[in-house]
Amino acid sequence: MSYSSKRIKRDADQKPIPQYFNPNTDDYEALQGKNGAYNVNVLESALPAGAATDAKLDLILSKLEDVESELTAIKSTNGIKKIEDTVAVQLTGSSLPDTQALPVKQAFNYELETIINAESVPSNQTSFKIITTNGEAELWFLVSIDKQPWRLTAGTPWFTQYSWGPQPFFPVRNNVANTSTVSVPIISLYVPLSPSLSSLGLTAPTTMAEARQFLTPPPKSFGVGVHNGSAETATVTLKVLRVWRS
Amino acid sequence: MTEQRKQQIINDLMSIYNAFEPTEDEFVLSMFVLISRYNATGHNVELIGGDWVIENCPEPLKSLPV
Repeated sequence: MSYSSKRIKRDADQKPIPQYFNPNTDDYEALQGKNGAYNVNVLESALPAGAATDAKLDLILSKLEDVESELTAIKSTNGIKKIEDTVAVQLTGSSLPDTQALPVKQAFNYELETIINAESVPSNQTSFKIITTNGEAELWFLVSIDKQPWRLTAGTPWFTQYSWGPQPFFPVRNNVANTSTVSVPIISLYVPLSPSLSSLGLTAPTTMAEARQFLTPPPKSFGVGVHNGSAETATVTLKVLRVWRS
Repeated sequence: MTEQRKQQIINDLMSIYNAFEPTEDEFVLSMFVLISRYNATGHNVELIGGDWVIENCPEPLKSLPV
């Protein structure tokens, strides 16, 4: 049969109602609705690309079940995450007690300068230069001399001429009986306070660590000299290693 | 200092340069070694030093390490 052989449905006033023809029942049926709209069947073939389908929803549900299983596997019964495999760990922060200062890395900068370049110094004379400084934390002097005895002298903050004496160094180089080369110079730290001179009332340092405790910034300008105490002309090279800290 | 004397000093220094052989203590010929050996000859009456070599001598003497 076809819809053309059936009567359409009518309401109480004998007017046609919203309806459709159902070939399964071979009759017109009233359209049902809900929330102010018709019930509508959507054909999958009419859906736009990417629209949700039963198959896709089933696939998503399956994935969610997999995630749930995985989370359950890595949690203990009280919900705390279990770590059973070896894990690479990088510690940050400090394990020092609150009362202990954090260690601070200091940056160093240095410059080696030749202030006496292979000078020929007659017997019992001194080769000397004026050193000017620029905020150095330390000054190290490197002596190369081919005759002995000799001594290294320098000024202090209160008497800046080189002739003040050998005490502003550690170790003190006074009447040294060894020679040295530029490859292997003899080295001393400039200690402006001259603690090795007992008449200043300071305790003379016996180690480099003790000498460092007397370190003060050097004067802005002072003299330094190498005295040739031998009976012959000496060749003298003097270098200064300037060290800055920041 | 006359040019003749200056050339004589340069010749002496070149002789030291050419004769240098490294030792355990002095493995390179530095300005210090050059002047030290020149002083040892007893010819350095002008008491020249490294600065004089840099100002007055040709290569390779003037560029020796200090």
